Amino acid sequence: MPGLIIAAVIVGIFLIIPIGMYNSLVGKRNQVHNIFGTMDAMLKKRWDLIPNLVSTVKGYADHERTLFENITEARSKAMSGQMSENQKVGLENSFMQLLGVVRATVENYPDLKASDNFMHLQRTLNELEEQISAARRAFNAAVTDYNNAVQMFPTNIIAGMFGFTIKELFQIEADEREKPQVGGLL
Amino acid sequence: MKTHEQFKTFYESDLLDELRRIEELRKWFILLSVVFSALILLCPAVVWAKYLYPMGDDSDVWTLLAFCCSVAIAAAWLLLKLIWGLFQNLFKRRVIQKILHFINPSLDYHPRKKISRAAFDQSKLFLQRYNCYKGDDVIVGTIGKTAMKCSELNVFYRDRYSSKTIFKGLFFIADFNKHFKGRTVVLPDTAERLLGRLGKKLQAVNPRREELIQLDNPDFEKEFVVYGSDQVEARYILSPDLMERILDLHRTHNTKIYLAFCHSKVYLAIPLLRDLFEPKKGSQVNETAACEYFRDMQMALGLVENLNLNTRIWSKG
Repeated sequence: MPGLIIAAVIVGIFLIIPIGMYNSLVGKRNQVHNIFGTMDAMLKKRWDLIPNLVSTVKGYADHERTLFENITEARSKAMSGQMSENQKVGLENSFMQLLGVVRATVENYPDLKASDNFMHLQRTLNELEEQISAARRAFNAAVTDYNNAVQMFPTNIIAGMFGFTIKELFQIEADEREKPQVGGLL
Repeated sequence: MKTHEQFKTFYESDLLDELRRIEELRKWFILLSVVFSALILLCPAVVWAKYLYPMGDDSDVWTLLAFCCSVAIAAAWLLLKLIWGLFQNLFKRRVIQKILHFINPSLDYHPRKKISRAAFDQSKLFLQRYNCYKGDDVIVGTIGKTAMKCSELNVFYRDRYSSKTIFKGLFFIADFNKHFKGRTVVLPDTAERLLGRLGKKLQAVNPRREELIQLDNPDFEKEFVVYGSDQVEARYILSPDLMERILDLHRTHNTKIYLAFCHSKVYLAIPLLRDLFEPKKGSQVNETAACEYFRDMQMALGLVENLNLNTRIWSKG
């Protein structure tokens, strides 16, 4: 009888531990998806602001046509919904540069800079950018947590068996780290 | 904020005479205390004499005398307490208020009021049970664009046998410069420092707190543990800049710091062993003391600048 109990306990442990590891991996992967969803919603919110921004800046700086065309083109691409995650990240990076150019351009138009509409837009954009940055940090934290679980022993055994693969972190592109080249983009 | 040199000029021109008058009053109080203490010591001596040298059948006289002595001791003790209370009030009105208005004339000072118990509870910084809630020295107003309020608090749990301090120190509340909906709490990290990775695991399953937030600043992670209702929002509030500022604050004051972000406000608790803005019976009210009050006041009001709360570049104007 005691032998039976010991055998039951051993079998129980061998069943419970893998189940726990599998559930933990699924939980971490879902956390990554959840945060990616939040970030995607914030990016969409920012794209929604773009027509408003373009029309406000156009009113004062109509001759910066190339800049507006670039922004509108980037927005159309983003809204098309036919981009992979990597393409999305690339587009976001180049859009950050475009926003830098808009800010530099606005410096030449004091009336625009002082207008209520632009100031409100500027604040909203600042807020969204900081929220997106927070979402990126949260995403990277969740991915690191998930990747650690996928690569570390003993969870890597379960990860290998059930096809959990490592995920890419959001990284700032080398050209984004540099100062935006205003002339080149205009 | 004012510099130490500016304060010295203010001290010479506006505060010195007042401090001298206050110091005179303090000395009178000390003298009175000595006289009363002598009387208080004399009373039991008289009563003890009854037992040591009984003189015939005069027990009624002695009983009356013992009663009168007890009343006299109680009255003297109450009187001293009352006089010290009046002195404290005068000191706060004439010295602390003046220093406050020198630093920022737009702020209001209420020496007898404290931050409400509801606000303290709302912060959820301290979840332990308490039954004594005391405090004083409320400073309230707007610094730059930020509405703020702070006071000294002493919160503790007392039963018949012991007393346990839950929080004693400066409690500060200010309007936060970003919109948010959830709750984020920043607490000193003791478990991880003591138990390492096991401590971190234990923190992650703390049933009294919300989700554990692991941030990307290793120095900050070493000193603090963060719980929040939303992973993204917690990082939105605790930007890399704010984390560095909190670390600076912690290093400057070399004390534990507790922060909560909820209801669009930041709640900050700094535990202190000493009392703030109180005159001391045993030490002179002089330039050194005045400088200390000035430093404490700057520390309390400087929190708005320390946390960069006046930067309003987001939609919350």
